[in-house]
Amino acid sequence: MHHDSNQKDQRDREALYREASETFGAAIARLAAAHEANPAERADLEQSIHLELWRSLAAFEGRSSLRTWVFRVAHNVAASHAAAGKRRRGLMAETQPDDSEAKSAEAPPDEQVARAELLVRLHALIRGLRPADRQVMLLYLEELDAADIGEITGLTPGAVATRISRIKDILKTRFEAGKP
Amino acid sequence: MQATSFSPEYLERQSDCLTRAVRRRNRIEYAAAGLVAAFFGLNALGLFGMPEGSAQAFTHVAGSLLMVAGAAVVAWQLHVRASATPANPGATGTFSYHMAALKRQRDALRAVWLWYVGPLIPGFAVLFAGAWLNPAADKGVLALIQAIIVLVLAGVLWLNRRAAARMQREIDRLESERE
Repeated sequence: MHHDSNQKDQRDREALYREASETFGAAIARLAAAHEANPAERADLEQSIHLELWRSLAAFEGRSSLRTWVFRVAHNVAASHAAAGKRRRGLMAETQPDDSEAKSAEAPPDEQVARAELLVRLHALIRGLRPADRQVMLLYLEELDAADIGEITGLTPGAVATRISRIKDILKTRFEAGKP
Repeated sequence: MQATSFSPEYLERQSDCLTRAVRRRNRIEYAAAGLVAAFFGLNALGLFGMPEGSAQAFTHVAGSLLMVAGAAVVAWQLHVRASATPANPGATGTFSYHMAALKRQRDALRAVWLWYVGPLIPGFAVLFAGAWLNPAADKGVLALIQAIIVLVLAGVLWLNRRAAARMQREIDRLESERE
């Protein structure tokens, strides 16, 4: 009886994970790309997020939406990964930036290069933000509204809106100054 | 953006590997504490020699037994901290998770001295005192060795305190930005 229940739990978890992976896999990959410039570190972070997502889903009871759960796991793991990497390397990884994410087969070569450079620069700017600001900005770029970002981060929607406005100013200033 | 896909079976195997790696690390730490306890336990029994003179013999036995007790306290602390269940990253908002991580690191920096070095100090102190009772010992060398050890420990304590203070400033800043 207990064994049957465990098997059902396992099947439920597998179904949940597959749903989460199919729906939010691309967002997880974007998050990893925004956090890590180094392709190997990025792949490592992406796998760590999926691993922690898989482990965490054993405790998923549906009190929050699957989207909120996935984004919380992804951002929490990314923040821990960044902190561990910072301790490991002494500074954030800025080596070997990979612009392959920004290239698309449909776009003309000049446009591809421009897009790639812009995205690499944007990611570098975002990596330069404080961890909490980085999380809010990346969620904003995923087109989540202040209420959803508030649920994921634990900040009030008002605080989220204020923070987004402040981060935009910071990014604008840094972008115009030409520094990440 | 190309997403990498992982099968639940693969992730389950990775999860098992991670769990085994944590257990292995814990076992190594327990074994290290056990080795320290075993060495000083045998030292207390005089297996590696027993100094002449009742005062010296007393400090030899008492210091060694205090080291055994200290190693036991360290092992107990390792067990307590290894048994703590970490927060589920899906159930905790990112702000609280980040704050909790900072507080955990701050507390670890403060506690490392108290729980991992502190329990061994009484034993070291008694053994050092015993070394001064040995008339054949070179007092200059003894003083130099003990001064170096004290300075290294003080340096570690200072660095930990400084890092903990930095964590606290970050916690305070985040708290002030919460609303």
